[in-house]
This record gives sequence, C-alpha cells and structure tokens, in this order.
Amino acid sequence: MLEHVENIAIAHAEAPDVTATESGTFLTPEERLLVARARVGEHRALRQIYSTYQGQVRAHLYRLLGQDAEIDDLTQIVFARAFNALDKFQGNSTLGTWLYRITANTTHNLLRQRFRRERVKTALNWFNSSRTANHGSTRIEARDEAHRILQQLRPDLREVFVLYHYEGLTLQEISEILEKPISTIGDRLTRARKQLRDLVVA
Amino acid sequence: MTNRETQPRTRYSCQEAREDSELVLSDRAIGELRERYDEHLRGCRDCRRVHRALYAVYEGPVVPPTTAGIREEKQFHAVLRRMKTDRVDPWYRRWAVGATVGGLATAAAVLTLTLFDIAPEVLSLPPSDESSGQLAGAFGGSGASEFAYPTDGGIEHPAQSYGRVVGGLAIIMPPGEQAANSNTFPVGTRFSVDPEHSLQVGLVGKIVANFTPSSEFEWTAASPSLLELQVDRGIAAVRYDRRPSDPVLQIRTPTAVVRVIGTVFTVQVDGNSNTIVSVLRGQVEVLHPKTNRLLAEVESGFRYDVGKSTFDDPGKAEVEAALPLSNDHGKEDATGEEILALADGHIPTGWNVPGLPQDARFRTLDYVPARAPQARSTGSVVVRAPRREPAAVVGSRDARQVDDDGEDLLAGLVRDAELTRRKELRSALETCRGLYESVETRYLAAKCLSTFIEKYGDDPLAVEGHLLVGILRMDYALDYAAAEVAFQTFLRRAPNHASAEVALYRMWLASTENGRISEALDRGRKYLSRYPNGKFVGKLLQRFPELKSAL
Repeated sequence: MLEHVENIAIAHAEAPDVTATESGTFLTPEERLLVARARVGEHRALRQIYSTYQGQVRAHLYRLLGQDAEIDDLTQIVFARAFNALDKFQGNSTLGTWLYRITANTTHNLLRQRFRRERVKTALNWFNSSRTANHGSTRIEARDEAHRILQQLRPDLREVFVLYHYEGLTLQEISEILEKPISTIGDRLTRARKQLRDLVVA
Repeated sequence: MTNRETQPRTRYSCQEAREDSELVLSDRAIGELRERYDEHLRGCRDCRRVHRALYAVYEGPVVPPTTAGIREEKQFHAVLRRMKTDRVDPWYRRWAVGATVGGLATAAAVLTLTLFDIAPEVLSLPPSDESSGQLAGAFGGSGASEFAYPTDGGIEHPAQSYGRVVGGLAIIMPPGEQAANSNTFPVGTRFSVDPEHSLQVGLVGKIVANFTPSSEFEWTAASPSLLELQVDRGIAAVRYDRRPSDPVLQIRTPTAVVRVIGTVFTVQVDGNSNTIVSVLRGQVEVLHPKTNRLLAEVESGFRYDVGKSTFDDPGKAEVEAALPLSNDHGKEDATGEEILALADGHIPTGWNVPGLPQDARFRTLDYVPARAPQARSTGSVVVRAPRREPAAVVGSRDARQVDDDGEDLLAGLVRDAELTRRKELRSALETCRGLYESVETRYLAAKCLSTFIEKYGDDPLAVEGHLLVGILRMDYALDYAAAEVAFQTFLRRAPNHASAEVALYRMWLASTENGRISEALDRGRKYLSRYPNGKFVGKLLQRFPELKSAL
C-alpha cells in the first residue's frame, strides 16, 4: 500500500515549481552552500540537512498520523525524495517549508486512504455500540480522544489544521506548501474548526 | 450603578459558548467575551466537557523525542539506500533509453550475424557475478556488510582511506601483491601483532586503535559511510571521536559485530573465539554477525560477554589496553570551550570505570578493581579465522628506520643537549626519550615534550621539540590544529633545518588526514618541488598519484 502511495506522491514532489526564480532569498549564504554541497551528493551536507530537519518532519508526521508504525518509514521516504529532488529546489522557500511540502505530498494519499478506512470502521463501531448500548463505559484519556477526533477530520482539512495550529505556520506559508490559494486555505481552516467543534459536541 | 450594569445582558447560551470556544482556545477572545464564556462554563457541565475536549484537540499530541545516536544513524543510512531506489526517470527518458538500447542491440546483432555468421550459443553472456565481485573486492573485499554503501572511494577522497602504524611491532600483510615497505597501509591489510609488544595504528585520520600483543586483525572496509575491522583474536582498544559526518565504525569478530558511533571501547576475542565488549565512553551496539540482529546495546561502564549474554564491569585489562588512547576531550578551558587533555597516565574523567574514584589522583590503573584472572586471559589462543600467507613481513622496528622520524629527532635533541652540558635540559629530554622509546609508554611522551617545550621552547636547542610535539599530538591525539601550529613554529624558527623535510611532509599529512584535500594537494606540490628526491615522495604519490606531474 505504501508503495502505491509513494508513486503517486513522487508525481507531486517532482512537479515543476512554476513560481521558482533564481533569487534564493529565503536561504542564508550558509544554507545555499549547504544545498549546493548536498546537490552533488556530499554525505556530510546530506547528513547535516537530515540532522537539522528530521525532528521537524518526524513531529509533523506524528501530529498528522498519531502514533504510527510507519512514521520511520515515511520520514525516510520524505528525505530520500527531498535529496533526490534537490536539483529542483531553487531556494524560493526555506528548506523547512520545502520539506513540509514534500511531507504533505508524501502523506496526502495515505491520509485519504486511512480516512476512508476509518470512516467505515467508525460506522461499524457505532452500529455495534448502538446494539449493545455500551456508551461511555470506558474512560478514554483526553489526548487519545483528541487524536481520535482529529483522525475523523477530512484529510485536506486536517493538513491545514495541523500546519496552522500545531506547526505554527501562516496561511501564506501553508498556501505555498499545499500549492493552493490562500482563500482556499482560510476556508479549509474555518471548516476544520467547525467540523472539529461538531465532532466534539457529538 | 453604572450604565453597563443597568443594561440587560444578551442571552449567552451553549450555542454561543461553543461558537466562541475557538476564540477562547486560541487566546483571541476579548475580556468581556472571555468573562461570559467562563461564567457559562461554570454553570454548564456539558460545555465544560466540550471545552476540555476541544482544548486537548487544539493543544495537539505530545511528540516523542527525535531519534539520536545509533538510531538516527540507521535512519540516515536507510534514507541513502532509498535515495537510490527512489530515483524515477520520467517516462519519455525511460522509453527513449530503452528504445535506443534495444535498437542498437538489434542492429548490432543483425550486423554481427550477417558479417560473421556466429552460432547463436556463442552470443550468450557470462554471468555478471564476476564483475560485481571485482567491484566489491576493490572496495574492501568483505561484501558481507549490511549496507550497500557508495563506493566513490575513501572517506571523501581516496587519499584519506589509508591507515598508519603509529607505534609498535607487528607482521603486516598488505592486500594482493603490494609490498609492505612503509608505515602507511591500505584497506585490506592484515596484522599479526608481536607477542611481546602492542601495536598502535591510526585509521583514516579519525581513529586511533591499540592492539594488545598477539592480536590478529584485518582492516576490511573504508567508505564514506562505513569503516570495518575484523578482529580474530586479542584485544582491540579503539578511540573514535566521531563527527556527525564521519563514517560509522564496525568491528567484526567471529561471534559478533560491534557497531560504533563514537566512543572509547575495547573488543576482545578470547581463545574460544568468544567476543567481549567493554565500553569506557559512549555506547556501542553488538549485533549477530550473520543476521545483524541486535544482541545488546552496551553503554559506558559496562562489559558485555557475547557468549554468555551477560553484563559486567570493565576490568583492568580493558582499561590498560585503552590507556594509550587517553588523550581525551572533556576538560574545559577558561572560556568554557572543550579542550584536549594530553595523556599523562591517568584515566580520563570522561571514562566510566565503575569503582574508580573521580579524584584525578586515584584515576590510575592501580585503582581499577581487578577482575577474576580467567576473565583477563588473552594469551595462548586458537586462531580460527583462515590465515593468509604473508605477502611481506615487516615489523615496525624495521619501519622505524624509514618512518619513525620521532626517534631520530629525539636522538638529535639529546645529542645537542649533551654538547651544551646543560644538565637540566638533558635530564628533561632523557625522561621524554625514555617514554618515547617504549611502545607501551610512547603515548605519554606528548605530555612530557609539551612540558619540555613550555619550559625550554625559546631555547634554540629545543626547536626540534616543536616538531616532535606536533608529531605526537597528531598521531595519538588526532589534534591536527595543534600539530600544525607546532610544525609551523618549527619551520618559522628553523626553515633550513635538516628536519624541515619532515615538517613539510607532516604538514601535508595533517591536511590529508584531516580531509582538507585541496590544501593537501598544495602542500604536496610544495614538498615535491622542494624535495623531488625526498624520502617521503613515495608516500605522497601513494595517496595522490595525480601529483606525479609535479615532479
């Protein structure tokens, strides 16, 4: 399954950046040098990028997916894809933002597949729990409950919510990462908040 | 009564509270709104539940700590492996390449059959194993490594993938037909350490290792990501102050693979080919040699017996073996910068030896709790690994005549001092010379000579001392910065000294081993232009064949 997701995500990750220029204003001279060294495959530079950003990527994946056995695997995919696509990185965003974009592309299809699966499972659970009338017999920790609620959010809304509220990015940055207009991002954020509220109340 | 109090307040129900919850949670609710929200929550149990649940959602999950150390290293290598498999050519390129290759192959086949009328069975290709085997052999020969590391030579440059005998006595068997005529050796070299002396080697300018008498080992691989040693018997004590971009070190034994990120440790292979790993600083992983299954993670202050799967304290034998590697970081200078402390016979405070006091005065071998005698034995062992016939037999005693610049320098210094009849200077030098002469105590000579230089450094007679200190700091402490300062001081003060050649060669060696390749090339050219028939020309060309044109 993951392989299939990867193939589709590659198409996203490798899509040409139409807004790219040669300016590279988002990178410091040191970062530009680091990227240049990494482009020619210098291990030291690749390792430095990995060490600096693996925490960000891993944490983002954790916030999107929750505790998941595939987080290590996905982190590797994100970095492998990023390192292979370094030639296409022109410095029109920070390295962090660029990695968020690759992470979003890598997880997009996975999130959708899981969401569909989860929806079927939730429906089945609801049916079973209605029949056995076993409401509220177990006490679920607030955090687990929060994670469960978040997983019920539609993937495109969840992505925006996580990037805005957990990663602390601006709407502009999110629009660059997801390659959607700011108005769309704003709209998704509003809908995400409303849907979350409805899910909690329900 | 104020106006505000007289005004009837609008209704604030659960509906309003839930609509405002996001504003409150993101701290955007204004004072009055916040008050009404809180007031409502105090009286509404259901809204309190919703608030708590939403609060947990907005707060987000607690992210577990990021990976570090060995786990991070594994992850990074997994990324590198994926990089190769993930590379996807666009469809048109794949089609174009396929079509071109197919077309050319068909055309060639038709042409060949037409012109030479060759029987079809002759066209079958030999298996490709041979060529891949040659490649693996060229890169270190083991081919048993877990990872398919890139083979673009050396660490970052092929000139770095050499080792040097720093001190000691051993039979050296270089790979293939190469002659063992210098203290510099390539990957694939096998060593049989003298039964009465230990052997100290430096690898790729990053690792110092001490092998106890009668040890048998081979350097099997060096790539940008992995260095590998095969230890068949004896004790190998290793210090590896690894920087984040340096390769991982693996030590293979008949019964285990010890994977190291950066640490001071010993690996002992006893008479039954059993492996015992002791860690004095840092941490290592012990893996199964065939399956690479993790057997144990050994932290500093522990000794792990692979055969018995038991943990214990490191003993005197292990600490003794590691003591020549005790030029250790850990001390801080006045500005809080970490500095290198030269070995003085004391066990560094950074080493974790259970039972040993922290007070520096008592951190000597005498105070290390003794182990049971049977656990210490390393002698009379059975060699189980297949032995290779020596291509050449060289003891570093022979090599010293060619390579050991230190001994010649020290002898010269003593001679000069004797001529001046300056007793004090002479006795200080004799002490250092005594330490330098024995392989077992040579690591202490750097400290002794540093003290000598501090005291007599300005004396014209002591100028060679700078060079000696540089050599020792480079060989045992891998402190290239300090070594270069010492070499430059020597060259500045005695540019036409008989040993200026040694200093220039050492400057080149320091750049090479420290990975500053363009600087090494410059220094190599300078050396060759000044000493075209110098005694180190062979060593320069061994690592940089491209410098032949400078001759």
